[in-house]
Amino acid sequence: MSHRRVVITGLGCISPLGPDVESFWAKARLGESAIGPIRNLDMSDVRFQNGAEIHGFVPTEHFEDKQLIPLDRFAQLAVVAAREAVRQANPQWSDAERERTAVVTGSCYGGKTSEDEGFREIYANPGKRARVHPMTIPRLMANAGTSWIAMEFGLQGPSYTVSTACSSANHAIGQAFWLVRSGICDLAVTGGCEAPLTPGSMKAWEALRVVSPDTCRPFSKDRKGLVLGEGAAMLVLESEERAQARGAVILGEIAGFGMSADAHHVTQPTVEGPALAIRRALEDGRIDAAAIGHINAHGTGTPANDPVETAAIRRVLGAQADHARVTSTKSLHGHTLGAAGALEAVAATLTLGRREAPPIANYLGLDPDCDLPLILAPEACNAEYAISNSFAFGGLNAVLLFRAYRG
Amino acid sequence: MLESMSDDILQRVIKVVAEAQKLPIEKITAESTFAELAIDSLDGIQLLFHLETEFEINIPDEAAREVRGIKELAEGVEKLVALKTA
Repeated sequence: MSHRRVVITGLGCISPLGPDVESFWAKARLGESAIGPIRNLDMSDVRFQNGAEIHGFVPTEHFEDKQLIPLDRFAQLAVVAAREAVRQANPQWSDAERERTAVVTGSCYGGKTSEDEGFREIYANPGKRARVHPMTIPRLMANAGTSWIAMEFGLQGPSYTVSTACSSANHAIGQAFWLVRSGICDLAVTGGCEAPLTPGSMKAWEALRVVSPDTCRPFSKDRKGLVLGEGAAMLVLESEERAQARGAVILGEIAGFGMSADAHHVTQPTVEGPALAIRRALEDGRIDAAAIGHINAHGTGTPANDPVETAAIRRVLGAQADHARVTSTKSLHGHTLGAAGALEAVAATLTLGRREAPPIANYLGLDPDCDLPLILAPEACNAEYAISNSFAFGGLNAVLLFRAYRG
Repeated sequence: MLESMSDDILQRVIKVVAEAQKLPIEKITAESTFAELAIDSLDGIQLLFHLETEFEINIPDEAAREVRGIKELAEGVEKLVALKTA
């Protein structure tokens, strides 16, 4: 079966690093971290204090008052990111093509903000006629991002949401990639969106004891855990043929996608599961491990993930693992859960396209179990291929293979 | 019918509709229909929520289903308010 090539013609994101792709990259390329004290929540009863928040986002600057009523924060972010990506791609859809455009988004939680706020009154006032807002269900459904993007642009093709915790966006982008590559669709708007910074969510993460009391230090000695963030990122994918025919600016290419399950433990990762997903991504892209020059790692900064990811990369890449340059942009924008893979897809696309790699922030020194060629200062990148890893709680792994588009 | 309806309730209903729908209050009269005001089914559900809050009543699903305009809405509210105070 012959495969079409799938290119990226639009990128959009709103993240703790800034309201759009250029502000994201201006800080990411220099390794400037947006992690800091959480300001939008009362954190007095939470053991950790830091997060990666989006500051300065005013929903009414993006939506009419009435439009906002059924929109949770996570869906607002999804639409804002999609608008930027679509504006850049300028896809010039015909009516027929709108039916052949997919919308596939990832979200771990859905509308957690609305759920938290809505249910608080119910649980605090049992039997006292407490009510929730009638838009609570439309706000909290995890597919809200996909639905509002489809409505915004009148896109009528295959549209759904994938929820696989921290791998959600990679699974979503991978599915969209396959839809376009196979010819089922000609275009896709795909990515992830998450707004997980709510009081209930903070307490739940605190209880799981995986959040760092200070900051996110991927692959570093003395790393203490992940740092939560919020954001959304979207990509416009398009068949190379269509993009070329209309003279679109091509920003990069998705060349492969691999998935696996650890089938082992709900929070303890294995080497085998992630390694299998990386191998599947390379097989899917029909390339050899020696071609991988850059890795945007899952790199959560938890004691458990980083050495396991190191071993998985070494197992699949072999000798190339001493050469492929590794970053984890979670040290910059935080762990945005269902949006993580999407923000990292933006980073990987720009890394290959602009030939510059964003460094890991907050690194303190070598952990011998995480001895990969880490990017610790801004550097040039001449890699042709990059992988971007996402490994979720529940042992669900998704790896995207990116290729620099050189025509 | 209209004369028997409490003008106070009608005005309060109109105010709730105006605020919820982001409509100028002078555009809404007792004779306005939901169709004229572009109030769709989802808007209607939110109106019921706001009316329940405003009048401290409980509007049953079946009572709400047939309402097509402001006058019927205010009448329905008036009945429920009367039941509450009876």
